[in-house]
Amino acid sequence: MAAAGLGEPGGRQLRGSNAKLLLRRIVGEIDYAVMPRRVVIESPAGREAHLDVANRRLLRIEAGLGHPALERLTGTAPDKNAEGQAEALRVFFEALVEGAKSVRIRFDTSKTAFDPTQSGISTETLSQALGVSTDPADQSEPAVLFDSFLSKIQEDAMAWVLMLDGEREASGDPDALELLETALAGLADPEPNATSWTMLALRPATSGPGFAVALDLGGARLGMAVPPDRMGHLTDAWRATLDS
Amino acid sequence: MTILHQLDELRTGLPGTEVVAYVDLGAGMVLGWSSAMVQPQEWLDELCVSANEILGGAGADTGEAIKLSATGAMVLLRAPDAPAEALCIVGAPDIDLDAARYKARTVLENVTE
Repeated sequence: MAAAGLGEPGGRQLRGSNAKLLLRRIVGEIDYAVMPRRVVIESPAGREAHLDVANRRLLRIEAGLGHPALERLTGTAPDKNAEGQAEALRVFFEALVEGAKSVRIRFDTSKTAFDPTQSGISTETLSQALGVSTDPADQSEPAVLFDSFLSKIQEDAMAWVLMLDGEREASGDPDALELLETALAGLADPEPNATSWTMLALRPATSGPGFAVALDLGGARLGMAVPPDRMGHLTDAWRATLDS
Repeated sequence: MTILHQLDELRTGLPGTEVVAYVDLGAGMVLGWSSAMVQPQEWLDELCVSANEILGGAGADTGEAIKLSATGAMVLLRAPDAPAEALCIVGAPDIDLDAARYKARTVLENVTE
């Protein structure tokens, strides 16, 4: 079980219950990039892709490591008219996320000197090449909602534990994490077929620094250790996540 | 001010609040409640059962609990000097939880003084 600090500079996790959703989320990150930046994506299997993006377009694949399909495209400027380009991109991205339910993503905005003659390909074209959905219904997946929620509560949670698709990931202060794990162990497992969400926050009367919170959604659970004065902000952040 | 007046004041002063109840967890009964509508006894009994389950019963260590869903919110605070008793606020899902906890604590301090 990993236990890293919250808000670490090494980027953040993108999660998806399957490869298509994970690819959809990577395309979404490129779609969000207007100013030039380098997007670095690392898979748990040690695969790595460096993508130069700007103006919501993929301009260049600067490096791809850890798999022959990734290394083959290094130095490539994608062109939607090039023969076999869609197939090459599909193989590249599928190799990147193969077998992964999450990837780490980080950005390097110091890389702004991109060649303006490279038009690259739009995220719409990339979506088509990868065969990924642009259906907004995907955004209600537990992995997507919990990702978005976690990005909003960096200042609130002392520690968190994510239980998703049989995998477990934890982060935060070790002492808070230990108390949180104990509190979560006393709760029943989340309802596997639940279509709605529930949040249960418990605070001991005599000990403990704050609330142990279990947020259940669609069979997944996000546990959080939260100081008492941050509970209001935490619930506001969850409401904002659902509304966005 | 009587406890019922304090429950009324808490309910009317907190937007989105539907019911405020003071419950005896050990006996499993509502000692007093405030609501804009008359609540059936079965509903009040269910409230006691839920409060007991969430707080873990009269002798458990859980002092405070919040249960939130898409359809509603419940805030529970165990009385500091009478651990078998608790204040229960039931309301809309967008109720101000910080204000609910603060007001509930104030009522409990007055009740148990």
